[in-house]
Amino acid sequence: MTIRDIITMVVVLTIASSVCGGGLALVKMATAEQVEYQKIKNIKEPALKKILSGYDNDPVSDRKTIITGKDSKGKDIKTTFFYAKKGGKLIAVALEAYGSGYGGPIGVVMSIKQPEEVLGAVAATTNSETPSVGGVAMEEPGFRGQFEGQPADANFGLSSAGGIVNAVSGATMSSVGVSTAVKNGMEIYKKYKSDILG
Amino acid sequence: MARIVKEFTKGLWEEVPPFRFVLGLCSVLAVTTSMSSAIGLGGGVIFVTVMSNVLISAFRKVIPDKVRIAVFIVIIATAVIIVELTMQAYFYGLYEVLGIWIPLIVVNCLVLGRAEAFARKEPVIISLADGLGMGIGFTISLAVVASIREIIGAGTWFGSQVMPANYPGFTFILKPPGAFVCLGVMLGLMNVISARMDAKKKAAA
Repeated sequence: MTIRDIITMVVVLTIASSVCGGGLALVKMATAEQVEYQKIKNIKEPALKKILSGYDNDPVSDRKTIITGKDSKGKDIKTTFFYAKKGGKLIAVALEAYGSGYGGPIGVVMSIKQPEEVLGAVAATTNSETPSVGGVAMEEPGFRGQFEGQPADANFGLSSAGGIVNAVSGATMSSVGVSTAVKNGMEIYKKYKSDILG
Repeated sequence: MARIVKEFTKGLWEEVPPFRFVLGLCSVLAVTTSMSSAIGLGGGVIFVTVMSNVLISAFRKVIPDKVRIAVFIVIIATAVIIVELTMQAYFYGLYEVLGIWIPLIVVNCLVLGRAEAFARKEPVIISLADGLGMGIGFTISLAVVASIREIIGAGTWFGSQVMPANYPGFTFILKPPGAFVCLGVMLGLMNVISARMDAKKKAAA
């Protein structure tokens, strides 16, 4: 094997890899937006359907992502807002926020009716609560119903501490998790309202 | 022209990949539980065999022999990732169902086998015919096995009910051992038919 052969091999492999890599980068860029849409559509839409109603647009494509603070490592925390419209008029904004429950963080999606700015509905998404205890509690209509119609500055604490939320007995931690998530969501909404609605 | 037709049609019967060469069996066993996943993977494989065959054949004179496998794999992997991204963007449901089997097309011996045994020696058009024929042959094989398994196993075809509504299903055929049995029966049948055809040809000659 001569030096010439070795150089040819190196050159061919390098060119092949870089052309393929470059091509893939282009494909990735071309599909990135559609892939993100599909992911949200398939993962978040079932939860969104639970809390939004009476809209005639596609909230998944009518969405906006805003940076809402930084995490402990200094990375941006991004929150995505979904807009439900009827006849082109905004009727509700939906967002997902987190609170900590018994088994870890609880994700809650909530809709905020427009222009009344009161809570529409809430539904738990990602969580690691005990399915038969906290999981059931979070689905209970009586519990979820308490949030309906609450204004943004309501006290989302437990009723025992002067708040408006009656915890599900036996699942206090999960109840607190959900209400904290709702509270956090409302705070994000209040803080970034001009960006969200702008 | 006759050559092109010949190279295309050989993939459909004489050399149909999973049954004649017994190549690419992992995915045959894995995705043939339903028609839609079989057709989805088959479509991906057709694209990959065609693209890799064409590119490898086009560059066959500049690829040094010693690094050819590496270059082939780079080209094949690129084609597979294109399939994966496209599927994720436009057929998300299918992408979720097929999961790991899409990236695993890279190591499907059928694709590398065609590159090594055919495309690196033959001109572009002929390699294209070969890739297309092999891909389609692979897809048809998947579809046949999947039809049998889905109809017998779940009583549905493409997800819609074909058996009577009270058909209890035959779960065994949907599990991996059932796939082996199904594949074995298919292989046997194909050998019987081929033997009959050869005998007829001999008798005629």
